Amino acid sequence: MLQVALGIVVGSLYVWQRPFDMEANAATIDKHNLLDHQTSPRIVLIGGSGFSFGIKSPLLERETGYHPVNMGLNMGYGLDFMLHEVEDSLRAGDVVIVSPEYDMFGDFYYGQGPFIYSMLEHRPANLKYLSFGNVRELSDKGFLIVGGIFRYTVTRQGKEDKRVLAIEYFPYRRRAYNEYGDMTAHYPQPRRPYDIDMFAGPTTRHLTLENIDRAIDGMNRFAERCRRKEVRVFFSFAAISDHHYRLHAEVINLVAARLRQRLNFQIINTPDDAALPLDLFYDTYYHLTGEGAERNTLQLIDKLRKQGVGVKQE
Amino acid sequence: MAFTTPTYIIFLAVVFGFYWTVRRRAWQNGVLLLSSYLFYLTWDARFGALLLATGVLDYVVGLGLGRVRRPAVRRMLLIVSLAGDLGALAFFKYFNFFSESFRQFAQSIGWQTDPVLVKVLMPLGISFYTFKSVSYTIDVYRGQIEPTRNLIAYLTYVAFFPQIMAGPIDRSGNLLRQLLAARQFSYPLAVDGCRQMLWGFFKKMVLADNLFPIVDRVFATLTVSTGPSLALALLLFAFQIYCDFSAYSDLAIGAGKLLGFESVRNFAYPYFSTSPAEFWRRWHMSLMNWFRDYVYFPLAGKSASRIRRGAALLATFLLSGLWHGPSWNFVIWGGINGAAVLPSMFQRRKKQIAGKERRILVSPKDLLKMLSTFAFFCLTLVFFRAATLSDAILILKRLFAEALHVRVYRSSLGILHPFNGYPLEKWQLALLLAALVSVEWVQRKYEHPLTLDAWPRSARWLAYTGIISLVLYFGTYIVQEFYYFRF
Repeated sequence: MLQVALGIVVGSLYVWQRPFDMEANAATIDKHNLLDHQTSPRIVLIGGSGFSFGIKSPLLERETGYHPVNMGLNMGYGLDFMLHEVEDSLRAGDVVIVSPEYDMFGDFYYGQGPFIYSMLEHRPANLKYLSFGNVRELSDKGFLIVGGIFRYTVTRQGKEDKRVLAIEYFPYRRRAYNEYGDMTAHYPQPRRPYDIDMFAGPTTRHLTLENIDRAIDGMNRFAERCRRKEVRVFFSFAAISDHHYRLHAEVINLVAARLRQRLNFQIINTPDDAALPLDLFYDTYYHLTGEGAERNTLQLIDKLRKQGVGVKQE
Repeated sequence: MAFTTPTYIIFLAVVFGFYWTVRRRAWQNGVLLLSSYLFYLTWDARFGALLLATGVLDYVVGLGLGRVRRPAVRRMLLIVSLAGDLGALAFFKYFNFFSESFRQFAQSIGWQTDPVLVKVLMPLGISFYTFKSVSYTIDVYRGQIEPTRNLIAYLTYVAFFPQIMAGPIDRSGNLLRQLLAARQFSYPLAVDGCRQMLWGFFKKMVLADNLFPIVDRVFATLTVSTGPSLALALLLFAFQIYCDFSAYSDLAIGAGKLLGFESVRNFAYPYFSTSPAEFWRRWHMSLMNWFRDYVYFPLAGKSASRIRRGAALLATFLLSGLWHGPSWNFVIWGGINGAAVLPSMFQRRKKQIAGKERRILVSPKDLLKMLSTFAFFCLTLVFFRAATLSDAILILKRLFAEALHVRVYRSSLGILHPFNGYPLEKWQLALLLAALVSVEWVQRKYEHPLTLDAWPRSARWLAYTGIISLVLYFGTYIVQEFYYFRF
């Protein structure tokens, strides 16, 4: 009885103190609204935070005539979930760009429990997109989730979060995204190279052949369902800093080679194309600055035009 | 399916529910067998067949030994079992080690060879379930137990899911006997199992998993690690490996109790030992007892000379070192410990003072002995933890060369913060380790410290709530595989 009572108290305090509506993961609500209501023809962008930082949708819209829906939010949700969450909402004539961070070819394929849970807290309707792999991941990391809730409550983390999330230029908040789902709040801010240095690079330990093939098979199944809906799908290598690309070239090139062998839809660039100068990155090896996003978007536009998407009418 | 995940708790709860719902022993064993194989296959589906083959081989050999009387044929059957089981273990675990060692030896005498190296993955748990199964055929051969005709019970004995990954190495005289007997649900036993599991969760999640990044970082950066920081890392590694391994045993034994089984004890507070010989009677007891019964006694013989007994002891420790992994480091580690135990063979064992396990205060003499035994074990861990022999030598050199550099000691405390966001402050880590030592010292007369039957109910529940809170607060940042899975 003591544990039950304590659980109820902790749970109530947790819900009361946490600023759910202000948090970055709440942007999943806005992105789904956009996905449901954005006018056709659409470009749907599937990826993690790398895509949310890495695209300037107004530029993309202007140059291609397609209306972007940037679903990029957090690679912790996993590629499997990201593919499922857009499927039902796709319409004939849509173009989909799948651009997973390299980690998602490994142990981020089914996401990471705490991130998936946080996403579900903000939009429980996302439950229907979970696969057995996601549920298993949630179950395996269940103690981390419960422990996180306990610690959050006991340390009154909500008070500090409310203060930080009120900062206008803080990128990791719901209001940091524009109307297309692009992360834009950080544009005026200087880079944070110290934060970039903290990261060794993508999680490569689990980038085994078996795991890479699992991700490719998942994307192929998605592409097949898209074809039936008359949706065009393209694969684009995620933008990564050239420094981290060189550090992990061997495994990145393994992913690329496997994709070229087994992926059943068009790859529009190369890992080398997507390796951009380090000073175009904001705070991690995937998160571009405004200038970096512009360059990345222009590259994407160019590649799409070569595929007949958004060809300029003379 | 790691023990410290909700997935495993749900799995255990489902098995518990089905198991106690079916009343008949045969059905219960069926539930255990299915769940054990399901458990194993979720870890590694590729080697399920090997596990099955090991069990079937020794079951058939056991039956044969039960029927055949001629010594030569019996010996042949035993050899078939040993060759099959230990052959598989040798191939998967040691093939490349011996191949590479042979190449190095050949090179040292001027002979160029190109040995075959195969890309083999070691099946999880093979070191443990092989020893379990081999002990059965040896015991049947020796006439110590009757062979069983119950295939389901035998296969369950080999694959029993709480024990399969990292022991205890529960022998047929204990576990198989219980599998062949009728079982009734025992509430006190089940409660005790839950308590033991709770203690296991605390040791693994709060201590072992949080010590891992500290130790790992120091040993990964050997070239820049100072002697004092290596000494501190070794001390913490001693706690890490004890907490990790004994926690696994607690979780395994606790789960067994939930299912009505009393498993063999595996740890008896080894860091309170007053000599290396006592230490090895308290550390990984099921493994050491296995080596004693199947390696030491056969080698030493019945009325053996001191020299023969000494040689048998050393050989046993060398082999037990090798059991831990395909590396000369482990062999050396085993040898050093064997050499440390050797003198006690020739001393008269002192009578245990009655009630000693209940005393809170320890005599200065005993305290000194405990500390020196612990320090000695920490030193041997250099070979256990170092990746290579040259790394081990480097660590030892640094330890002794910089032991008197007092100024470096203070800066060594920096290792206690291995990364940004590390969950424990230095004082919190110290307090938790002190709590572990204190609780285990005070409760050392019991199999596990959460034997709190003498406490009032409210105090017991307060203690459980406190431990659960500690686990939730400190134990849920980092999830690490159990250390002994690699063996």
